[in-house]
Amino acid sequence: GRSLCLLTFLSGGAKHSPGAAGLRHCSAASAQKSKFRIIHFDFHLNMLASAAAQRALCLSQSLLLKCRAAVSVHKPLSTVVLSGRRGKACSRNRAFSSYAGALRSEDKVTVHFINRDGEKITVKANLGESLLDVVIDQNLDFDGFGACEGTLACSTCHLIFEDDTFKKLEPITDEEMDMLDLAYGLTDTSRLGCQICLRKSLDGMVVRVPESVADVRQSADMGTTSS
Amino acid sequence: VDIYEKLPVPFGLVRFGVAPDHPEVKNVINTFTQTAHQERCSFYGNVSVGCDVTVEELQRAYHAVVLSYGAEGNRRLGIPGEDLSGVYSAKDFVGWYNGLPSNKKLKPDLSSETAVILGQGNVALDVARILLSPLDLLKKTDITEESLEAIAASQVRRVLIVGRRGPLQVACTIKELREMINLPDTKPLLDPTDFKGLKDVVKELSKDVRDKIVDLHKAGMGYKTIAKQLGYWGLKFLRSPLEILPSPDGTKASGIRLALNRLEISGEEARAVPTGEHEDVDCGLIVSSIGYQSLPIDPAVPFDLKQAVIPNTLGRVEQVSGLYCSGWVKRGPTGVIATTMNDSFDTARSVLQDVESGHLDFSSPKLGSEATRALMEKRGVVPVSFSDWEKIDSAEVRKGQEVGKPREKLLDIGEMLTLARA
Repeated sequence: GRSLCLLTFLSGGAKHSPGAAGLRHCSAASAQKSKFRIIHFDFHLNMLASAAAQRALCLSQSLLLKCRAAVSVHKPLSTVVLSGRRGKACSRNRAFSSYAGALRSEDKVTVHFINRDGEKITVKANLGESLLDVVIDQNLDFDGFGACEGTLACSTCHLIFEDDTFKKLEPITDEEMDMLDLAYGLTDTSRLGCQICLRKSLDGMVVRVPESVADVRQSADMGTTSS
Repeated sequence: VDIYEKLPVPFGLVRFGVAPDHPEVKNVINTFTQTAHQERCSFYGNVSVGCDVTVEELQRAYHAVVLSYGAEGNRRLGIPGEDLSGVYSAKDFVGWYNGLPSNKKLKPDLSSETAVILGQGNVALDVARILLSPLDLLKKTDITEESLEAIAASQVRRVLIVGRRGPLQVACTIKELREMINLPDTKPLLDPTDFKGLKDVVKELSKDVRDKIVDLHKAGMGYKTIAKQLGYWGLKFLRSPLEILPSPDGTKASGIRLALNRLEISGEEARAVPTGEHEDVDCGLIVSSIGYQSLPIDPAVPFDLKQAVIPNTLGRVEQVSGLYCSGWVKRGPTGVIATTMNDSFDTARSVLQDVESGHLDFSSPKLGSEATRALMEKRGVVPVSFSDWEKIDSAEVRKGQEVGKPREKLLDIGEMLTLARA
């Protein structure tokens, strides 16, 4: 079917601003006439203009990807409301038009995760996604991973990289460093997954999910261990 | 898994402890909500364990009981004048601006120019930051309306954050320190003599401590130029509280006497040792931020009064089968959300191990909430379910939207219960 994506950018808490409502009404009316399905996306911009614009672009890109995916399987989408502050957007250097390209297989990147049990999990992820996005999208079951949802308010997305991969990563910011410093089991090749954006040069990388706490269990009557 | 909570609303310190201007730290609520929505998980709010239902009754009804009720008390200073008007624990002060119902009548006195905060951890910095934050920033947060009004009328212009030891021992983390240094319309007051001689030692320090010292030193040198200054804040080191000094009529605090310390270093440890000298600081607001403290919940639960935790091994309560503990009541009241979350995972692993090993006896079925609901009905206790909480949640978000805030918290338990039962 044909779908119309309506992206509304709202500042502050103005979820029901007259402008947004009017826009929605007009587009709904015209879309109905031409038998379009309408998908609404409201963006609440809680921060300064340029940072918010960047974020909005990044969010709209990833949502349009999902929108196209949903449309192709005729899945209905309900109103998606995004609000709250986010950490630095992964696509700070990406052009808006590259979203279409990301659906081609050449723009997928292979990532190998070694989980806390030592098992290797291989996934194919999209360029421009953060490693936290990948863990969430692929439903990888790492206990407590990404608690603050990528806003640099915790250290639970701590990942350990191989030396040569580590050197290819974008330089660390002060804000990431502040939180990374608090991570358990910090190494020289540690980073926070929510800040690492996938690029072609990182294809095939192996990344380890470290233990999040010291394993002090030494009980003799432990039968099967399950950690 | 059934969750019993004293208040009608869930989330504990994520709702009542995290500062209003740290909304992203509260994102964990989404993970918690997902868990609560699972079919096999039920929430029973407005139920006071130890009172409405005893721990023994819970143990009879459930195969395993986990105590994770945190630390609702606070460490006392143990000095004269501590109970004067104008002296508050950080726990109560934070509870006040975060809408904890039991602190809604605090009405702290913000009429004096100088406030002294005892302690230099993240909670102390939170209090300082909220006291000095520009109102434009505060009014967009979920700080309560009443505290916003009180802070708008506040006369406090100088906040001194006092610690027993030196800059190398501050307990706060660098993120919070940077926030203070970058706080608009404020200027740090730092004594350069506090940092004398540290330049030589700095290279040997851990990166985290090194960063803190560098930032503090830069801040103290007037590194930041600001157009207008509405407030000052400073870190005072090597000072311990001796006595809160009363006003002439003896009704409230008018100052604090601080003992001057020196540091005695032995290996990795640095101890504060009094020099015998002291100084007096005029102030009308004193916030004691020296730590939260757990309290015993029920006579059937062993409690270590000295350490103020439940005695346990890996979360298994000592000498009581089927009873576990997690979080601050297990390890003591320090650590961020991630630390406590991981600790809870640890206790959960202990429970699961005991299930697998047969240590927990599942052969006889237990009634679970069937039993507790019968007891509560008999006692006139009406629990609040998670979907009831969501009615309260929507109402708060709606009220907040009217004034451009993420939510306007309800302060009255009666109001919460009325909404829950609507």
